[in-house]
Amino acid sequence: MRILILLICLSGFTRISGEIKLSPEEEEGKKIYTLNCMACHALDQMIVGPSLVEIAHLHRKKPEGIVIWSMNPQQKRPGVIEMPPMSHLGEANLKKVAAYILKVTKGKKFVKKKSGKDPFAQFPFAKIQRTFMPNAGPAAIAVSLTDQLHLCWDAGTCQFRYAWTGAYIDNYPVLRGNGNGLAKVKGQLFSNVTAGNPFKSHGKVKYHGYKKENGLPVFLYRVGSLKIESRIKAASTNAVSFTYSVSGASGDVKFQPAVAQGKWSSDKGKIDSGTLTLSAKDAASFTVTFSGEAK
Amino acid sequence: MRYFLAILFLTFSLKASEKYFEYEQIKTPVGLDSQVGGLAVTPSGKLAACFHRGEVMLYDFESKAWKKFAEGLHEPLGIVALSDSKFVVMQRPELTVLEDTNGDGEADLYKNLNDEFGMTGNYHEFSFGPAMDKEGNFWVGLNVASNGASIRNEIRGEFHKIGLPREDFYKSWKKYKGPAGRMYSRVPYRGWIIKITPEGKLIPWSCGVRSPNGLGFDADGNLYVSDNQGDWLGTSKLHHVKKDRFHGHPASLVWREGWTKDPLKVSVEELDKLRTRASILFPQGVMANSPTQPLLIDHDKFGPYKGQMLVGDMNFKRILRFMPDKVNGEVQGAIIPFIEGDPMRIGNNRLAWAKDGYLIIGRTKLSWAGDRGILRVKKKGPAFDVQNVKLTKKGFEISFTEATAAKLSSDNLKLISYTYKYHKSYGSPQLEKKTDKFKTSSVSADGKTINIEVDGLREGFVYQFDFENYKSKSGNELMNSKMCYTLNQTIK
Repeated sequence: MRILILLICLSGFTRISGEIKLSPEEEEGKKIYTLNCMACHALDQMIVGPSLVEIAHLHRKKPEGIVIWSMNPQQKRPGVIEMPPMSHLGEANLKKVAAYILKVTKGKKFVKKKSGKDPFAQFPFAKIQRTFMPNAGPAAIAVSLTDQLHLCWDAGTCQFRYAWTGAYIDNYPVLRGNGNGLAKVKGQLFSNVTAGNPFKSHGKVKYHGYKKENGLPVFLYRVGSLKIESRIKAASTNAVSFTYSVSGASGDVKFQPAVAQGKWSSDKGKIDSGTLTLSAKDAASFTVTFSGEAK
Repeated sequence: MRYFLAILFLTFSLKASEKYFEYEQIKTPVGLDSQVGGLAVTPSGKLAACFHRGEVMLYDFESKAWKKFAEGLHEPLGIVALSDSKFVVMQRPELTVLEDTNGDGEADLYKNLNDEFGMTGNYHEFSFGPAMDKEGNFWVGLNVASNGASIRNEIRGEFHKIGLPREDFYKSWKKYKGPAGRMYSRVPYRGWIIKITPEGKLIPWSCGVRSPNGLGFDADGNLYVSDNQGDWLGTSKLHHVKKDRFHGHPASLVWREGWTKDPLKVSVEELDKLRTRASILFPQGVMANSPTQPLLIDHDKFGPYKGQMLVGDMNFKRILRFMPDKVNGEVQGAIIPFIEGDPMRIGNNRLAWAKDGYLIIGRTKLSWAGDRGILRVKKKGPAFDVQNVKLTKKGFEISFTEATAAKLSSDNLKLISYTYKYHKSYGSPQLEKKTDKFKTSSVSADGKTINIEVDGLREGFVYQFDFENYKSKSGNELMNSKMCYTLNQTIK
């Protein structure tokens, strides 16, 4: 029984003796840190900004560097947002924060961690994944058709943007922080189309969403009076085809993709100077294939 | 001896918060990044949660099993359950209806309900909500962009001509980030609270928010939105949203009809006249540093607080309780920590009530201070707590859940007041701080309600109450001993 009491008491004392004793200045610094810095700087791990351990590692020899930096921070680390200036706190207060940082990190060694590693890397991204894609509008969708064939569809302009062979995307640059990054395309592009909906001569573009068929998206949108559904298929290792079902056309339908890389063809209608012209009947179901050399 | 042991045991093993609440960490599936963007409870009682990587998952509280309902969304930050097979989710680019139309348990329709707001691709343009009102409208908060980064080459929506020319956004950002403004709104309706009808029509409602990470309705249908300390916000706030209100952050004013001035060049005095003060302030470092979702307490299972609201916070291991007080027709009131300390963690982003009255808390971080995972909390039993606070002509009427042991005096209550500066800088120190003199003017017959008179109430100030060793008649300690009342107006 006595041992039990002793154990309980000891556990309490250990907790107390484990705390770092702060001077009044450092105590004040802790308060200012909690109010103004804590949201972005943790003790021993990088969150929005570097950890206190890293800051101490950088400035231990010249602690005034913490004050100078905080008064006028600069963009320094790629992919990390710039710190807002803390000059409103005043140099005297920032000195107290610096003193607290040095004390609370004393004896802790900074170990540079390898950055950019996705802790969930073994779990694949969704085959239809909305994210920030490079060379597309901000409302983009990555679609994986096969293990080796993938594309980017733009929900802002409602159009196919580009396709590639190889692995799918690495979405971690977007996911690792607060979205200040772009997904990486992990392959070689064989087809690339500049921004601009190919039906845009018919009017304003309005995205309606997608339905899933066999795990792939059927994109639904309107351009002027045209109501459009588009289904995607891997046509070959370096070709992707879109089957469009267009209703609501009062006359011929014009399709004008601004192809910047690769070739395109249609199973119906006539292509003349980059414009595909279809009768309303043909537009009810036609397939356009985008293909090219991967590079 | 046994008594002594029991007390010792309690002292060391039971954390303060465990005296009042029971906790269960809900296990999330292996491989899921369990940063929670939204929580909802379905009509059948399942939990629906949306996560950082774009999944919507359904959780059965009975079997403790998770099932995927949807995936591939772009940073979903809120979810509403219309049925067990139909949900509305706010993701970065759009308000989306997810529907299982073939009955296989997974969404096969991802319908765009509305995407008629702009995106520059700036990371800070988060889309928060939706909160659904009684008519089925969806309410959304659109973040402003941050000059921590520039804009993308391709954007969505009209680029407003007021402010830094677009071409300068693509030059040396170091040079142009200043002129762009600390937070900027260059595409519609950044910095606005918008209403989206069930048919998908967008109506811009009120402007002047900075980072409105949390929308919720009270029992009377009033909409509240939290906003985060930063430029133009001396400290974090809870706004009462009404049509055409300007909440104080000027960047979004460019999207007001007929607005022609550069918000960066409008004087503080003019902006101050235009703005509606927030219902309450969350003093930074005292109450909350990044308040999140307000949630109506619509039952008595958590104590006698029905009609009040809970609010989460990212930086404290804390859920707060908001006690609204209508003064001269406008809502102001008090905020007090409610669920506090370990085993709570930080990052308390989303809240929902389960059917059994448990509170569900979803955590996130998104690179800021925060955490992952889902917590289920139950209130244990009665606690000695501040039940409500009302402003009176000369002071405050404070109601407790139990009869108190003593009058309020400087022996057991420290009362201070301070204000914050409204300016374009980031945050504000507490200003014009003073200790307030007060005296107990009356105690109710049941001993639960105490009126205090305060020397010279100041409008536009926060009154911070620090109770010191204050006990109930039966000897119970006060559950939380610090609260703040935002006094925008005295009683006229």
